[in-house]
Amino acid sequence: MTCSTIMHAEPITVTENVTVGETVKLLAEKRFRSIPIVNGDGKMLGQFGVSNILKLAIPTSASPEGGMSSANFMNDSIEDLQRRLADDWNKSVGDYCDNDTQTLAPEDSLTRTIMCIASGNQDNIPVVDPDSDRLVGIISYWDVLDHLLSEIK
Amino acid sequence: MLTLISLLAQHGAPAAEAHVIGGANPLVVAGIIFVITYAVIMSEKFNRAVVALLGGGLMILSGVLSQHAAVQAIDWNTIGLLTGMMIIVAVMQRSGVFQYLAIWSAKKVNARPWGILVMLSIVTAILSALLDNVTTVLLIAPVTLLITEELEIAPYPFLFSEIIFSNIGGAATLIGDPPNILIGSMVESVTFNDFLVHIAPIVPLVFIATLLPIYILWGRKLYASDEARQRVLDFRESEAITNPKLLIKSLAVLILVLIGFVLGHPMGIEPATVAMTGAALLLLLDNFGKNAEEKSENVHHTSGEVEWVTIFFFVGLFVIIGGLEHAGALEILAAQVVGLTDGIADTAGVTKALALGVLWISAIASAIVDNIPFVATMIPTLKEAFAQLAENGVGLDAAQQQTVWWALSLGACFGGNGSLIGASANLIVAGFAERAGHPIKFVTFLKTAFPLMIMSIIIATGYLWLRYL
Repeated sequence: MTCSTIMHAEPITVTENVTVGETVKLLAEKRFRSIPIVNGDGKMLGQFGVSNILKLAIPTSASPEGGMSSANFMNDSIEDLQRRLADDWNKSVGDYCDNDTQTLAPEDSLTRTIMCIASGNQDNIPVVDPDSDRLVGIISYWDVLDHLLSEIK
Repeated sequence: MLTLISLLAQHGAPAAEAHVIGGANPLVVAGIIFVITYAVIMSEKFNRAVVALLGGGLMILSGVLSQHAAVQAIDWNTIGLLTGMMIIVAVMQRSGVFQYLAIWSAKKVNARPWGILVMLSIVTAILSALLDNVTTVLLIAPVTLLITEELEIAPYPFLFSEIIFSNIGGAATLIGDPPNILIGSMVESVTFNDFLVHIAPIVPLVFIATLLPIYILWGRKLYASDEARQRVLDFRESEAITNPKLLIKSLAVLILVLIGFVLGHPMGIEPATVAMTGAALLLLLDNFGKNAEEKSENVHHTSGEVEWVTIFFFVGLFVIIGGLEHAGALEILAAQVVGLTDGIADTAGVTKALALGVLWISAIASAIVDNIPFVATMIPTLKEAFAQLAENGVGLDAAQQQTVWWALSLGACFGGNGSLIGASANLIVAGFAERAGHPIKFVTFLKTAFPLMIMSIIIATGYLWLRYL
């Protein structure tokens, strides 16, 4: 059994030039934790999810990438947080997605798929065709668990 | 550089007994290894530690230096002092004290931008004097970016000032800046207290003189709205202290270590012993009440935060310079230095020529290249030059020799401000700025920083002249 047997083919994606605001609305509507971002050719660019939205509300320097070990002394008002989020609302989502997303290939083994989900901090793993870099499917932890449990029963 | 090789080639007989492969002249082999490694380090194409270690390895493999001699060439006082202080800072910074200091100082001036710039400059200068510069800016630059982002103003004047004042503040003490650590460790007659008496007094002078142009250039135009300032005023600095117990422990150890530096020398205790013992004590205190697994995990983690790359860089450099010394190359370099004083018959005149020459040459050199390899080579070269001068009947006394060391320290430390690549701290700040989306351009920095550096060297010239020459 390979990754491609359990993945959802043709997942819902967002193109890179869609705005942050529209992507947020889509995530909220579908209650997704994250969604793959692709370019015009369907090539996988990264993922954009709830944590990316939340990071937009705090100053970029306060994120771990900014070099601060902790910024819990900050005490911004809700208006400040909303204003920062609004500043990025009409920008392209492609500039804000995580581009270090872990991916799998359709031929990857089930064990590798499980290890990838068990070790990572991603809720779902995009499946990418290694030759074309195109997104071909997506696997969530429930997909894997459902498969495992059905075998036991 | 090429003149150096040809100079070396002219001196046929090797100074030391060595068995170089192929029967080549060790002087030439050592010279070639030195020139190539330093050129590659300056090109910044490869990691400098890797290049230095390779150069050191070549010195041994080619037969210029035995492994035994190479190990002896490493200045363990420098290595111990650096490592010890890095461990202490690694533990201390986990308490959040540095962020606390930055926020507290920003709020003290009501979050007015120019006030914040001055306060952060003072904090940077003082911390740079007590800790190493790289560590200081590593801790201060991220908070600075956060504060300027909250104030909605450009971070450049702030980051620029922090670079400049970390190099100026670092000059004040033996432990503040790598050139001083090298001088304090490799020159037996220079102590921690000597730096406080002879170098520290000039630092406030240069600080104020440098702040003035920064005010005219940027300071008077800085403006932040009331709402923006309120965001900074709303910071709760007490919550930056994430571990109050650790803060007390590490402050206590830091104070002990500083006292150790001051009192140690008369008792024959070198800075490396003080720093490493302090580091071990702090690790012990930090691990109190933890279980065995946590203890080893904690010590492992802290050890990992030591900048081993820098340590290895020093080790490699020491071996390369050891090879150069062993082959007799430094005697030739020293003869060139002594040549600067040709025709001067009195020791006061020689001191004057040497001190001013060393000050300006090291300032310009440190602006162009990394000041660490420069100073590491200059120290044994100057020592040899002193010996040659004594043979020529113009031997400098201890105080006169010290004046030359101060010239080297001031030139190399302040010289680091000359360009973005002048000191490691500069590049660290530039790295943060780039990641935050405000890259610092090499030429933009040079245009302001180089004149400021020259100004500081002019002040240093006046200071040395009035006090010692």
